[in-house]
Amino acid sequence: MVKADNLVFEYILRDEEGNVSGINKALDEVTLDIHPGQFIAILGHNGCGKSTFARHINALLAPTSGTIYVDNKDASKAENILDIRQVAGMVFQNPDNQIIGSVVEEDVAFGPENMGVNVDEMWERVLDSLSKVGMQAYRKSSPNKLSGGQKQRVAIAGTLAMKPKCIVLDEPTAMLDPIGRSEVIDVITKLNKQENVTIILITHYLEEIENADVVFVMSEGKIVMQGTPGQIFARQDELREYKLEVPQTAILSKMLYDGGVINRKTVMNTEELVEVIAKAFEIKQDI
Amino acid sequence: MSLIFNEVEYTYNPGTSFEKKAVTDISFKIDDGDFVAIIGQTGSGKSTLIQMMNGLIKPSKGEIYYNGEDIWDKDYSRKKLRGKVGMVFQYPEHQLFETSVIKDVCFGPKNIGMKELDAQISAFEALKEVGVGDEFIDYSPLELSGGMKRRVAIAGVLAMKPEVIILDEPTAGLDPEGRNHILGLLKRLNEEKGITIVLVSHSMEDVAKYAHKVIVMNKGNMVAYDDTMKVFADKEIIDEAGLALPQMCMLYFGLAGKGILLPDIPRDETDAYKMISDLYENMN
Amino acid sequence: MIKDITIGQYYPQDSIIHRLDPRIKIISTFLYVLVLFICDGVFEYALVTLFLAALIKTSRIPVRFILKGLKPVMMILIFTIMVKVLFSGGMMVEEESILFKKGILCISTEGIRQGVFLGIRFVYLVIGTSMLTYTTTPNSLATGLESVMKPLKIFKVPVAEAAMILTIALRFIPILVEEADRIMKAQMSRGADFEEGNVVKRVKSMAVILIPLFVSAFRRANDLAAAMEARCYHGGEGRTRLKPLKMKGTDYGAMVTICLFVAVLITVHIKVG
Repeated sequence: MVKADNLVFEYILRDEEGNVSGINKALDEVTLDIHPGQFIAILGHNGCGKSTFARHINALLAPTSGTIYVDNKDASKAENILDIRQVAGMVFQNPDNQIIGSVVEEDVAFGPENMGVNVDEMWERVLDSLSKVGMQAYRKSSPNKLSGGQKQRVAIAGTLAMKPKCIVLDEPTAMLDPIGRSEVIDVITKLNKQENVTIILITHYLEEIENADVVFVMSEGKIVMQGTPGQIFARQDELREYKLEVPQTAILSKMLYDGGVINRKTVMNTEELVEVIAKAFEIKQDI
Repeated sequence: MSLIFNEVEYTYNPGTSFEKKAVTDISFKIDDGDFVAIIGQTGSGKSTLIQMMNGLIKPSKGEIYYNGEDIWDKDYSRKKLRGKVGMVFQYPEHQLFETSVIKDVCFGPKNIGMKELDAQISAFEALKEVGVGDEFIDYSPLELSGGMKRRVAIAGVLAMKPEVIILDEPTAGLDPEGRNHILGLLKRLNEEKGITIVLVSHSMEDVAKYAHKVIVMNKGNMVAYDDTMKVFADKEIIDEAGLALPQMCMLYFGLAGKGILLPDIPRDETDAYKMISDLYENMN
Repeated sequence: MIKDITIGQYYPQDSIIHRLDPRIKIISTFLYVLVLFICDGVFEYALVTLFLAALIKTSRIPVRFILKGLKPVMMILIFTIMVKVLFSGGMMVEEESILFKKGILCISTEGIRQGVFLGIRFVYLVIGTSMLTYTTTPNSLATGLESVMKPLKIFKVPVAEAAMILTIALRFIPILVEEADRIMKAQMSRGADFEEGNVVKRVKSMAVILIPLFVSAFRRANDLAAAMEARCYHGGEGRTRLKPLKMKGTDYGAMVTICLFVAVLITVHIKVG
């Protein structure tokens, strides 16, 4: 689906007179391969290069060197750009700044309108996309009246209406409250499972990577860790080094594992940890 | 020295078809030097509440007293109040406007009548407090990173030397490093300088870890105001308000359901670890 | 505060007026404005009032909401009426209509009459034109304008792009208004004063709102550009529409109604005037 090979993106820093004062490597030889239907999470602190990478997938930025192929098309070639943007939809961080239409259904239609889809099919796509994100009841609402989570779901519907194979979400929950965050995560998990849409979720919340198939951790433009959520959670010291926050439950489970209370090193959610602890107590009682 | 709300009510657009009661019948007292968190869903009235604390909007009913004085008394200077009760809005970096960091931080102090030199000294101290180094003071605020901008914005309020600081989700959108920095700062200001902190937050874990007391808002009503751990012990109120319990609190109730009773609700993971391993070691 | 401005907003409602073809509404609004300027005398104003009342009734927009929209222009309104009423000396006023005169101050029944009509005309102008935006979504307004302006394409005017700019502007006005409100409050809590001081001081104090507002607008523009590109926007070429414009029976009906209204008014104007 997405294949990056030694991807490098540099930008030139200039001083006040406009002279070149340095070169910053936002992406430093990123190589990865994402398969169709996968749920990928890319973790990293602010400024680690994860958003820059996201913008390459959508051909909003072109690589300095190296290659990136999206759906087997070279993203650096101008003639592929529109195809790639249709295949790989993108959802951004700020819910307000990506909604173009003043009525929900009109916004969802923006992508298909640009693609020149005919009217009948367009309506079908709009209604279908809205129902997939559970927003059909708000079809005639003004986006300004929606909550943050609802706005992001409209944005997701907007990409869905373009019938993408893959959706890249660049910190879609960073500006949302807990309810909005779980709304968005639920919707993308559902799209991945039921519609087989490839999901690339970019975030700095470790709580959100639980459902991912593969997790990449980025730091200073490089991919520094890679593995399943369980494997990533187990390497807590490294995560902290890369300025990521490990959820309390995961920290506690590691402490209890190290202290010899429980026998599982990484437990990601609280209900599971309760079970594991209860089991440990039971076993000890039996002895 | 305290902030008192007495039967306060606020209605938006009174007398029109858009009339909407934002908060109803709110009475509480925040003591000097306390660390109070306000929690509640989006739209529960938190923002209205804190804007009234700062004298930005006038209650439709009821009175607000700061240090025993009615802040809406006609002789009372709300400008002075805003110097004493500082307010940090959500995404405060969006309010920066000056050409340099130091000038921006001086804006508040000068507005409340500090002399140029005093304002500058105060600004320097505030910037040092929030961890913005001297090398940045002549930078344009726009050149700084997101986390740094936010620190500068907080310094802008701190430089007014407030006795109370109200913060509306000061960690929103920051990465863990930035968040810990801000929360650590609040704790320090509260403990070392005795500044009263009022924190609006969506992170129950942060609230459990830092706040002494918690106000729970639900649909414009204050449904609880008590010591942090006592509030989180009342699962029903938290559920009804549409909020989640802090993870360690969920763990406590989960374990209790399995017959494993921890001596207390743990504040954070270290607390929880101690309790669980103690219980485990002393079994039988 | 600033939030009270409702001009230019869309008021979601399901009514015949809302469903009308935007082109009809745009042309009708244009005709209405023209008519309003030739309008004179009680009878003609009564006709316009009737028309407006019928329009508001069928649009199912609460009168309160419409009146609220007048609030921001109240100052201009009062000022213009006062000028007319108090300084009618410069007009051709017959001696017997003068009620009071001192220096340039001159109050006359003719002045009062003209002031009142001017006020009504102004209010009707604001209400009538706002009805267009209240009942038309920005998107269909833009589509309508694009269609009405199509002949300009011959002169290389980028009509489609201009319509897109308009759509976006209308979409972001309420967001920026809210933002301005928030920034204003944030600066007030830093001790800024927007009520006191002379004009120079007040203009200066507006800068502390305007600079952050512009910075934010640029940031939003940047984000929005990326979001639009990501959704395959590449100018007006080859775009289709979710809601293509198609004239329906009610549209022709509305057109006939407005034409009749204009005809009646002009007849009355010629006959009575």
